[in-house]
Amino acid sequence: MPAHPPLALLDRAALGLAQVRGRRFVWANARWAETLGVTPGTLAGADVRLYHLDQDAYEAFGREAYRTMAERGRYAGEVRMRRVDGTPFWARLCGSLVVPGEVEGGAFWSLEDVTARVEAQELQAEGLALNQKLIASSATGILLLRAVDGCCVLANEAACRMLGEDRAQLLEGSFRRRPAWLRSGLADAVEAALAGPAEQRLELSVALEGAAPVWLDLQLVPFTSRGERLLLVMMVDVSERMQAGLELRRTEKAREALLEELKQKNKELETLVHVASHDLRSPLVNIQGFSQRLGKGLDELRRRLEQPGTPEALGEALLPLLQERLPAALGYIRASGAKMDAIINGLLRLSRAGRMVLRTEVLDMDHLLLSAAASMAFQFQSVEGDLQLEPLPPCLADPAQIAQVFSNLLDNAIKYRDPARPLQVRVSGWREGPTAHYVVADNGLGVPAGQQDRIWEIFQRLDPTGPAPGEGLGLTLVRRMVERNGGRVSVSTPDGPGCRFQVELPAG
Amino acid sequence: MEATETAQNLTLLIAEDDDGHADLIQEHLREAGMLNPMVRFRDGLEAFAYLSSPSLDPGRSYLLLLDINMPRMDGMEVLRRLKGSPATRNIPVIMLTTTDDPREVAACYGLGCNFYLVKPMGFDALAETLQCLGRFLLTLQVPRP
Repeated sequence: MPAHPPLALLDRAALGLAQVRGRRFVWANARWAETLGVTPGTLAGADVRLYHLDQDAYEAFGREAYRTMAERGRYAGEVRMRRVDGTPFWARLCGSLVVPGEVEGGAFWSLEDVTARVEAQELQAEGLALNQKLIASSATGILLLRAVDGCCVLANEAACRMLGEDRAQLLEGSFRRRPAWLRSGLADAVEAALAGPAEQRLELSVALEGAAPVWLDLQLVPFTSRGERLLLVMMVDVSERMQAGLELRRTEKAREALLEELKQKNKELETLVHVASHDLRSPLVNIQGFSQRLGKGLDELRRRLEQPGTPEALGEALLPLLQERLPAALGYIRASGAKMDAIINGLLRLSRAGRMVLRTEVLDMDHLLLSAAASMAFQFQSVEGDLQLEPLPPCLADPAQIAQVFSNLLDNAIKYRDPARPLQVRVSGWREGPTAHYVVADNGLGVPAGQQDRIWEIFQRLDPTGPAPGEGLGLTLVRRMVERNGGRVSVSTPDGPGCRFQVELPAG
Repeated sequence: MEATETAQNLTLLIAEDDDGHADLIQEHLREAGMLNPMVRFRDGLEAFAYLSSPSLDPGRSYLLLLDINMPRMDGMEVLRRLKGSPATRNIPVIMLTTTDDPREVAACYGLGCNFYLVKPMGFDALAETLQCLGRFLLTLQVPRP
């Protein structure tokens, strides 16, 4: 029969078991030895303090454990210990005195390695703390609402700020009784989200008491926890973005209105020019027609007075009038009429260039310039001018208007040639990305640097008394037509004599 | 074959709201040698009323010189009505106006005008044009309405 049959049983237990007296093991089972990392059966007599972290830790543990056992009969606690190799572990130690009430008699102990559980708990606590910290310091406003009573069970700093209430206020009472929430529709949205299964996303303007309304981007996440219906509300203050958006829309609207008005005004102006120039023609017909009649009447009078039989005194008095002063007066009327006529025609042409419906197509510019040159061949010949055409890129524009543009530019070169040298005109071009560039360069009189803007103005002629005839409309028309075709025209002064017109049009 | 008459049997109708223009037109036509009767209307409605009245002399033929911009009824409307009615369709109509807008010219030909003449600007141009017109009208044979 074995000497200590119960000991063999205890030795095989899954729990560490030991008897300790005077800080030394009297006996410890295999499980205890295993837990400490020592060979089973070698612990008897060993100092129990070796397996605590240090002397102080042991003293603190020992005092409390033995006091508790003395007072209540047993002790249970989780204690940081260490194995023989020095690695620490969490132990659950339960003890009771061998002789109740007598500390000197030693104690029976059980030992369980609970490191895994304790660490898991620690990790969980850490996670919880992190979560709380995140929620508290998040720039996103976070609320947790309870369906049953509408109360807020959690509110972070950002949520308090956005909703303009302190935490105590926010955690008190139901959302169903908050005036700002009811007014803005926030209460309805929360109610709907609590009732539904799905997450909601919406933007709301919340008008707070005595403060400017805030625009909130809200995310409402309903969920059920332990049988309770809850709603997680996350909110971002997007007032600034909304404000900027509104501002932008306002600006855009104003710009559109302005553009529309400009278009309308332009149309009005063109109609006005058209009507005015048209209606001015009618009185002009009379001015010119009746001037002619007066002229004929004067001729007749003069002829009669010059006939024999006219009293000499009468002839002397009237002939100077009829021969000089009245014809001179008529001459002024005629010249002014002719000038008005030119102006009216110019205005009409300009308004027509603006009103004409464009027919945009790909233009073979080599061909177009050849035709223009052919129709102006006589003018070039008569001034002994030389026109040189280089290969040109195609463009996308109205053929009639662009033909007119280049005819006007060539005509301009002829009109404003320098009599001191034979006229040379060179037309060149190239394509650059979506734009076709054309240059009409001449060696004529050129445009003085300060006058380059004036040449485009209607009825402007840099030298109205100069030899070139014209109404001062050619370049105005050029600009109008090029711009209507989506292009630009500019003038520059080359290094040498003359000037250089550059036309840009959409490339074909 | 429609009966035609020589120009002696022609009455010239002039619809023109501007007194000066009417005066100049008549003067130059006379100068070109037209001795035919001329009747002037101050607006489109007067002209249309005259031409659509049953009192037109069936023994005479008529030719209308028609301005466009006129009060009460403009020349385009007169033209449209005349050419739209079988009774007046054959009366020749010559538009005589200050407008040289190609769209108006095309519109008038579209409505059936027989010729479109722009009152030209320029000291002598109007006289020349009207006298040419007068000489042309003298050679014209016009059907009776």
